[in-house]
Amino acid sequence: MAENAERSPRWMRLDNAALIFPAAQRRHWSNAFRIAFTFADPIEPDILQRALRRMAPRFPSVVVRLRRGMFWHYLEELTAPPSVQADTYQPLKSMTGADVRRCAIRVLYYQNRMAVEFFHAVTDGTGGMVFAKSFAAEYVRLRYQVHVPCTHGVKDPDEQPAEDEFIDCFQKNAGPIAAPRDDRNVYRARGVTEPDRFLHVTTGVLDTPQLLRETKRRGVTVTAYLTAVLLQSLMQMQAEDEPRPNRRRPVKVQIPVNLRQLYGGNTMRNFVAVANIGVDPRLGDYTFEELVQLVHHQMALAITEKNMRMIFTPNVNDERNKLLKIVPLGLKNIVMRMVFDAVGERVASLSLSNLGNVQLPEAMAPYVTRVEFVLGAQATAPYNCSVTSWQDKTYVNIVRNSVEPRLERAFFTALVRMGFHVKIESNDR
Amino acid sequence: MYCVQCGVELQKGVSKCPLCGLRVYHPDLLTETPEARPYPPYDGGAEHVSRGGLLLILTVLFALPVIVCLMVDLRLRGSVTWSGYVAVGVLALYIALCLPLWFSRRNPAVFFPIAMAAGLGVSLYVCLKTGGRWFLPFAFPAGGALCLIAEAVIVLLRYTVGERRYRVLYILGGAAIALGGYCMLVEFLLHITFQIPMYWWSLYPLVVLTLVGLLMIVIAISSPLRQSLHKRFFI
Repeated sequence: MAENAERSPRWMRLDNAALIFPAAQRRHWSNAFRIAFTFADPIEPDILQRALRRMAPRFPSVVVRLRRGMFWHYLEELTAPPSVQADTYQPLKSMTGADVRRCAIRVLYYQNRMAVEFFHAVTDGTGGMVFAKSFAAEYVRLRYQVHVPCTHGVKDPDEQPAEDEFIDCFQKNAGPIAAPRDDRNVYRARGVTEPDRFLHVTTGVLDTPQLLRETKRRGVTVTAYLTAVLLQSLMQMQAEDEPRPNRRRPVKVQIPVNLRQLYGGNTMRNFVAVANIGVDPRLGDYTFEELVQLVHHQMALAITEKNMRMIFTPNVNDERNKLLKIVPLGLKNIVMRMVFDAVGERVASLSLSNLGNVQLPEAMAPYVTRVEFVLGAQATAPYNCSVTSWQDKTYVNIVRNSVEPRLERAFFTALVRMGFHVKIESNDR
Repeated sequence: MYCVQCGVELQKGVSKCPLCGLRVYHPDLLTETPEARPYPPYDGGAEHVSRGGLLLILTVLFALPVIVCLMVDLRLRGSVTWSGYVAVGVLALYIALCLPLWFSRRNPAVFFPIAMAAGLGVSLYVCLKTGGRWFLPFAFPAGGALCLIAEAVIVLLRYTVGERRYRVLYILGGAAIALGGYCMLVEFLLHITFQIPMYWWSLYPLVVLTLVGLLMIVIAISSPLRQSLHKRFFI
């Protein structure tokens, strides 16, 4: 890290998980996600810009741009924060190489909502949520002239960032044993890609108390429950695609796990690894009860300190490989892109990322009507799913860049059949 | 307001269910104030990704050898001689491979006859340049008949309904018999155009292809035969 932080902008090596994202980036696709806060009143762009200007120096590892070194990419702090922009009909518009070289995040506003879109090389959902919360809190302070305390993950704009916020925790926590790479032969949904790569975002709004009652009754977490519904929907789709059961493929959902909960740490960088949870439809039909229990037990087995360490260690070993280190970045990008295409997304049918129930300081809560988390689509398959809850509503976002709304229909109608009240919103044209 | 098909609640003022596309209509709800849309309205696709650039490069790549050949030919011989063949050949190749890329809907039932016509155009050019008299009596009917058979297969595969593998058996069976007949036509056309004696070689493919075609049709018709074959030959 640059020593003289006052005179020159801070710079950081990419963390281990982030290394793949610039290499995998393509013209029409970048790995990005969005966190949005909706307020009771329309957004004031000037105040939003002021809030960003106040908050940006507190997050020198988030308000950054991506730069190329001889051997690796790195992140460089931006001395001037980006301008807030009006949102467009298209959320998570692809961040091109030129975009992230200018700034790797976007701040957008539309009616009552402000949204921050992050290039995934910058941070993960948890880090993004800390930034978005702090930014939203600062906006509330400036807009409504109220005191919002720095609790519930809201950072103080006047304090200096702690050094442990910049740490690559993967390097710190990697173990001696690397898990073999996962099986690749999983079901990947297909669809006719939208000619202009339009990203459909379908949001299902569920009642959190009803959802919690149901999950509690079954003794599982919300993530496990929704994953089971997703697996059931994927199996239904695959049965339509492939009538012969013996030709079907395993169906797997990739669940990102916040590793800070397992290993501690306060990093604002990526510190997430995935657990691939799934079932094999060739073995026979599954009842929903069976699916819920299978997912619950698989998650319990996979999401342990030792197992997750084994999962992210191979990537750390690759980064530490001396030969790989001295390969020029251009060549490294080609290899990493090939690895990403061959392995990256092919180990699961899609991701389900749950940021959980968002906690905000009480003073801020009356002004916030909604909090949303949207994950971009996969590079080579049309869907992805993200979940977050705020107060008594749970927002399940399914994104799709294909024409046919197959997964969301199967998923949400399954929830309706289970007795849930689901309200649907979408950005359909 | 709820979708009667999916059972989900919809935003006020939406015209169709985002999940199933069912139109939402209730006379009492017409006066409902629409809810704010979750995202700004679609503004006509400002982000439309055009393939124009790539196609332009492809066109230039096709045009380059033609231009070079024409220049060399004109410089050495003072007129278009051999380079004409290159130009016509490349043009036909371009029509067959690149022309469909200019369209968003690439229907093979439309573009296949165009590609075949381009091929026939090359034959016509060669025939005229070499002073031959074989285009109308041979190339045109032979190429045309082959095009008709292939077009029929494409159209039937694309536009008929039914269980796919049996449908394919019927269509390919018919196509095999038609190909047998086509071999006879070719031999006959060779005979009348180039005075090649009739050896009746075309009878062999005709018999073989007719038998294969009939067998495919019989298998498609007969369910017990299909089951019996499946039982003996499954892998």
